[in-house]
Amino acid sequence: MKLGWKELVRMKGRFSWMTIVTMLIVLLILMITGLADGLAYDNGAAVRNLPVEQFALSKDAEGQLTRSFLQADETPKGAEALGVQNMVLEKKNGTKDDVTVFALPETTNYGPKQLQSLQKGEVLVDAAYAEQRGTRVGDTITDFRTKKTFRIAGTVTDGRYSHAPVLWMTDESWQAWQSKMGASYVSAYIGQSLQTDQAVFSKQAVIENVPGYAAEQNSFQMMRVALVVIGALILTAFFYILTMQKMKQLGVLKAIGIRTRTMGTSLLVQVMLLTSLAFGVSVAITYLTSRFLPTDLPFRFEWSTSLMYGGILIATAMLGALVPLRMVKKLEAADAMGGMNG
Amino acid sequence: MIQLERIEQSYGEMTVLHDINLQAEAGELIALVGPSGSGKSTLLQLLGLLQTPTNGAVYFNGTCVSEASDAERRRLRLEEVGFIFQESHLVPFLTAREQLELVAKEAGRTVDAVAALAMFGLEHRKDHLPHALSGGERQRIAIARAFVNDPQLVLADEPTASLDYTNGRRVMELLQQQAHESNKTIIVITHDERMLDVCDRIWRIEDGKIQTA
Repeated sequence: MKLGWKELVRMKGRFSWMTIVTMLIVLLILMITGLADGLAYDNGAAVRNLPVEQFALSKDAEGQLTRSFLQADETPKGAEALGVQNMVLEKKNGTKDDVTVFALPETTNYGPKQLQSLQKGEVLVDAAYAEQRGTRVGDTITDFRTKKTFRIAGTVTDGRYSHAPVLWMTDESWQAWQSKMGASYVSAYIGQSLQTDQAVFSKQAVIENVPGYAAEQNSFQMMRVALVVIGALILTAFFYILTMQKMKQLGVLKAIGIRTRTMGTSLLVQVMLLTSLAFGVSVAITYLTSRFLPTDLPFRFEWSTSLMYGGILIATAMLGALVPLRMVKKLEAADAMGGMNG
Repeated sequence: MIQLERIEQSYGEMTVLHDINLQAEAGELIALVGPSGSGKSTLLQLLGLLQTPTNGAVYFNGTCVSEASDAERRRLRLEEVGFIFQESHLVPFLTAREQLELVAKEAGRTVDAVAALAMFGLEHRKDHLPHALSGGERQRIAIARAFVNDPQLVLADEPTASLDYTNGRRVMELLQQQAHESNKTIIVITHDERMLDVCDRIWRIEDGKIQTA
């Protein structure tokens, strides 16, 4: 144990190098993971934040909220009618923005609490969107198709659906908007346990059916797995070489009677300290990044995933360091030494 | 003290040692000489329990150790055999005193490493790392390390090869002193005929056979 520590301290140059390389590998993995998690979260945030278990959609909608059309007056008892539809906002300068409208009754138990105080024709917008566009409470926005205008009465955090900002309104405003388009549908009945003959989905299933969600997450999953596998291989090779370079030294120690266990402990202590330090720094950088990134870049830091990847990488690094030690154990002490040949 | 009986060592088809019978007693400094490839390093490895012979037996204080387990041979190497190599083979990141303490600690002993270094005139180098020392100093630390666990047998493979004559001579005289005063068996491979006069006996080996003097 002390042996490993002394080597770390007295061979600072070499070990700092290794710590930096290890740190960069871990950082790369955590950053990509953070972006993937950020996008996943961003994609389904408005749905994820609804505290309900079940969504009933029309049978032909295949779990996609914007494709589902139901009658509001058939809402089962204990459920609320959720309206979800795309809206194209027309801005004063002539450009347009895609948003998704979410509507719930003003007496809702599930939606944002501010809905209760909304007047007809008033909406809540995603806070990040408002910040980006410099939109303020009191501004009005116009729907391009119906030319209907809405007044912004407040903001909600994490109001995102399919990467587009969400506009929350009450069902009263929703009905008025829909009737302008000659329709009178809602998109889903939501509640904890629904009694209905419509198709019922779990919240997770609805999130996975958000347009683009599955394709995006599959790509990211591939990247994540590839990164972890490559990172683990690099670290294993890295520490394998570190031990191989010391073979002669280890052979001499074996010849003069030092236990293989003593050498193994010293190697393990080094790998543990080095990778833990690298991992700690990477986690800290990733965490700070998640705090200070601009709001329009979706990034999420999850302790559980970070710790899991850290565990995998530390374990493979130790494996890489210890495999050559098996060779020392099996070697005839004389062969390892080289110095006594001739 | 250590005895080789009818030793034969082969690697595949090649037989390196033929029918070696040797015996060394406590208090002797023995030189092992012979041309390159004559088998002297192999012989030293057998004496140091680093290898097991193909045929024949090695006796250590009357006990046959050529059949002992790896762990038992490792323990004997640690506690009863000291090694001195051609290069000092010190651990690069340990100071002089730590080199000695590592070996002592592994054997479960506590030693006064500074006093042990002082015996070889190195007490002022106790906190130096190997790279800050001269070749002669490094070799003397290696010798101090070989003696730190008070072994009965010390084996040296050309300990003077990397040293100039004066330093080499000093090392050989140190070994002689240790053999005579501490009653140890010391066997030294050497190429340098000028060193033979400090040795009590000479084993000449040629083509894997001992030449009777």
